[in-house]
Amino acid sequence: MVGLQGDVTLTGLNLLRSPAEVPWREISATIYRNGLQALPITALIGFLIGIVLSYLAGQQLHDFGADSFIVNLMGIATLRELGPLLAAILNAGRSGSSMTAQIGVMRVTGELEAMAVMGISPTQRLVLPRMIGQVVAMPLVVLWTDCLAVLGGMLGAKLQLGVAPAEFIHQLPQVVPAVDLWFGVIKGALFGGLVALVSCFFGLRIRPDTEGLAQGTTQSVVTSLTLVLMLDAVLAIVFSSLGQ
Amino acid sequence: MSEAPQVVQAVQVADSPPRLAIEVDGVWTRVGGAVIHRDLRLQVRLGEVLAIIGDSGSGKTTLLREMLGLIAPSEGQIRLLGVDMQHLNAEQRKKMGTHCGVVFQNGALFSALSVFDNVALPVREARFWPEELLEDVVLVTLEKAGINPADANKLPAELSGGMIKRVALARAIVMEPELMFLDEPTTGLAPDQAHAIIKQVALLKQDYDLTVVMVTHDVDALVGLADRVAVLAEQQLVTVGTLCEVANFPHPFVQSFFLDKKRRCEKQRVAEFRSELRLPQPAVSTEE
Repeated sequence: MVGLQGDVTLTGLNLLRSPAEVPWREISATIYRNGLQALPITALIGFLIGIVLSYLAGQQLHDFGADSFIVNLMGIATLRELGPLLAAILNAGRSGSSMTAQIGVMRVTGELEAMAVMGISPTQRLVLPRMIGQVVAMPLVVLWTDCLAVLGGMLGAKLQLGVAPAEFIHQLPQVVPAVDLWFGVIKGALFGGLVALVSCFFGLRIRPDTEGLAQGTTQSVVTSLTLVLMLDAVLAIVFSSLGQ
Repeated sequence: MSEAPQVVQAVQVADSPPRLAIEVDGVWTRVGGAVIHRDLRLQVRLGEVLAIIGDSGSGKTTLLREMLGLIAPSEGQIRLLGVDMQHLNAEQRKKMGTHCGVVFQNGALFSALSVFDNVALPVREARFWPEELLEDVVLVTLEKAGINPADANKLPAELSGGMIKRVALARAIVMEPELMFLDEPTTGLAPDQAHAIIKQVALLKQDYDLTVVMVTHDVDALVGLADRVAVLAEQQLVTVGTLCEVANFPHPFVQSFFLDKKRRCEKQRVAEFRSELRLPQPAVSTEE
């Protein structure tokens, strides 16, 4: 995987010298498929998790008479952690598996060999555009998920604690530093790139038969999720003082 | 087995020194602990059609892939048009790709691209023809491969097996290559479609003055196309020669391959004859 990342970096640097060869169509297709088409499901999950978290947290805060802290809790938890993580988990399951299966099927049907004969680099045509597309799309998906999760949290806070939506929205920018929002967005880009790299890596090395395709896709999703959570933990520790 | 190298040598030194399209020189292929190829030596002359036959698992397709540089042999060298395929960088490989057309066993068309885009892809990648000429070039090539230009916007999933092979043929010749590689071009096709593909390849070979290397099990393809036949068995190249020479070569695989096909052809002829005379067909033997 490190080798593939190196190959992607070198290919990217080469493309900077010849922008005409940048695979714009593939990048745009990735943004459309993994970004735009993922919006309904991330919206639904974000909204529902927002409601659940707000409801449960609201009960505890109410017991301690700390109702007003629901905005702090929901804001920081969502923008810094939940939004990027939910988006990444959904992205790994939905788009990651799709990317692995797509490249895997190309291997099964001999399309990768046909590309090799024509001298088309799979890194340039398959891996790099997916990584760039994911790095562009994921921050936007994270922002979208954040919005819907906050909306769900606002609804939960209204139902559980009676906090008015206007008050919630008014307080949010005051108690949640903007750096938390941007930290979450940058995490989204990193998670997106990581999911694309892992998915393409497993897709390219799939055993070319149906069982290999199933195994490779499962391994890809499990590895993506594990690495995303590990990266999240590392970032949480390294940047723990950020925004404090 | 002792006469095999003599036969190979006899064919190689038969005429005046030919111009060579492909040279396979002392190739060994090992996968894990298993030896697939043992010291293969083979020369393909410019303009000829060489068919490679052999039992299942004898490494025919592996040899084809080695010729294309898709996998490297464990030992030995393969040269295409004098170029050593194992030591090419990405740019050289891309350039070499313009000299080689390949029809893979299942066509290997890009499922996300239309027929037109599949055929146009190698041209676009190599910037072989100017973009304004591309449409004309692709449509003419489709016609030459026997495809109705009205089908150019179809996706591979909408095509029949014969059509897929024809599109793969069109993609293989669109760059006007010197070499064409066919991996089981008639496998999985109905007899009439297989016959049409053989005819199409023969026409294209003539039009483009191609050197063709073909892996096949199909005797019709051998009869219809091959100038010479190479037989892979027991990890070695047991003989190379004209169809007649090879068919009479005393090797168990060769004998069983041609005898079996001959019997089937005879039975088919008998069946057709009886059918014409409206005689009852003979009962099927349980030995088969």
